[in-house]
Amino acid sequence: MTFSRWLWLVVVALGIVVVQLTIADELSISGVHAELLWVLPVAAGLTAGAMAGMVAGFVGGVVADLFLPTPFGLSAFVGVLVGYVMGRLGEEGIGDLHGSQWWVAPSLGAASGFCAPVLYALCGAVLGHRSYLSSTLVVVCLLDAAACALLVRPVMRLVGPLLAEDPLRGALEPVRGAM
Amino acid sequence: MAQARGRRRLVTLSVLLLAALTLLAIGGPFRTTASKVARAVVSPFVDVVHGVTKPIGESVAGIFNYGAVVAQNHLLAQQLGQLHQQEVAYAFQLHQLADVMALKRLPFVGTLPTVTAQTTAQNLSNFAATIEINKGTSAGVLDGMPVVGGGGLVGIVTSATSGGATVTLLTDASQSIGVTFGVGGEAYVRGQGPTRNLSMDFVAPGTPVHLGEHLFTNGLQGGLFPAGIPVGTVDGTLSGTGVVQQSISVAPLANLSNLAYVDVVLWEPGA
Repeated sequence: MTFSRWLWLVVVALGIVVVQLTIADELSISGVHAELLWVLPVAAGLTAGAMAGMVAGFVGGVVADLFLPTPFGLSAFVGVLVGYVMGRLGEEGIGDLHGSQWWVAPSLGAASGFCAPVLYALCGAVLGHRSYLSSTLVVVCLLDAAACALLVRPVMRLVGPLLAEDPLRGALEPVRGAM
Repeated sequence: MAQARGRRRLVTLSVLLLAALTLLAIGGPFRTTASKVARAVVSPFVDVVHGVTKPIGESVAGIFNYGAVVAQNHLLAQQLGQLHQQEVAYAFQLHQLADVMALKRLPFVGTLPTVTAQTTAQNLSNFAATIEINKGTSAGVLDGMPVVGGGGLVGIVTSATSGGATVTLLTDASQSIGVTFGVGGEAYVRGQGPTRNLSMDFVAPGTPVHLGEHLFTNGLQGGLFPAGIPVGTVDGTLSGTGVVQQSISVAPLANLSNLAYVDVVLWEPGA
């Protein structure tokens, strides 16, 4: 990952924060709202592999944590894990924008969006915030899953060229070529 | 080649996880500065997007809720008239109460100065109950100051910068408030998370607690809040045999889902 790609990820993460603060936060169900921060590691992982996914998860998590009152670094920790898992799948060609069925990436996004808050709440509970494991967690998981499923393909289209060494060949070609 | 790539991947994973853990452990001071910068960067874009999306959202909501808004307006006008009437009588009672509290050397919220602040963001996280306000240390707002509004106690200032502050709501799981109820009853209420009612602790079985009863901060020495701030009403009680304390649910008096403006009480714990 070059410095310019890290910088692009910061810009995209800040863009996601703007959408979060202006739109997602306003659309709440049962007092909770969808969290868009998981979209970035999922999209980066599926489109550019594990390295990009992990870095996107870390950058996106740190940027999101700057705007949240929850423990600083927790979103980054979970984001890295989500980016790694999605990146490994992306490297196998699963969820690819061009090679896979259109529904694969949204399905993986939904699965990640559902699991990420659970992982987040579990890690929070380990750190002493046991209230994170409440009944509203289910609503959070469903909302995050829906948001990830909806947004993963547009964000993949956005970050794919930004993370690719050669935009014409695609971000994952060097990785797949080595396998 | 593939093996080297796999090794590099695992090293990166370890380094990033370690970096995240480091931030969790010692990232506090970095967060304060970086958060200020990030907010300054994002704020103009948020304002522009809000400028477009908010009128659309409010128009749509207005179309669907027009009848309810008109009915609520009539009700508010009626309540306003009643409150004007009560205000005169209340001023006299307040004066008397302040005298009594002064005799007991307890601070009373009615006599304390406040700063009115606008809420700029609410419940940014699904896991913590907080709001952001637009008044900070430059307006005299400091960590630990109580925040009231919407009919009762809202929470406590947990982080203040020069231009704004974070208020942790009383429903947050980290909050515990000393309250008084009935005739001389003392207890603690604690938050249980953003979407749940408060829980009242340390009330012995058999202690008379009535549904709808109001709870106020007790302002005891060393307490986090001055005396007399309305906290909530008893919403439900449960007392079984063999239990050491009653299980009591308390609904916050303040409407925590609609906090456009709040008052920060310029009072520091232990003052």
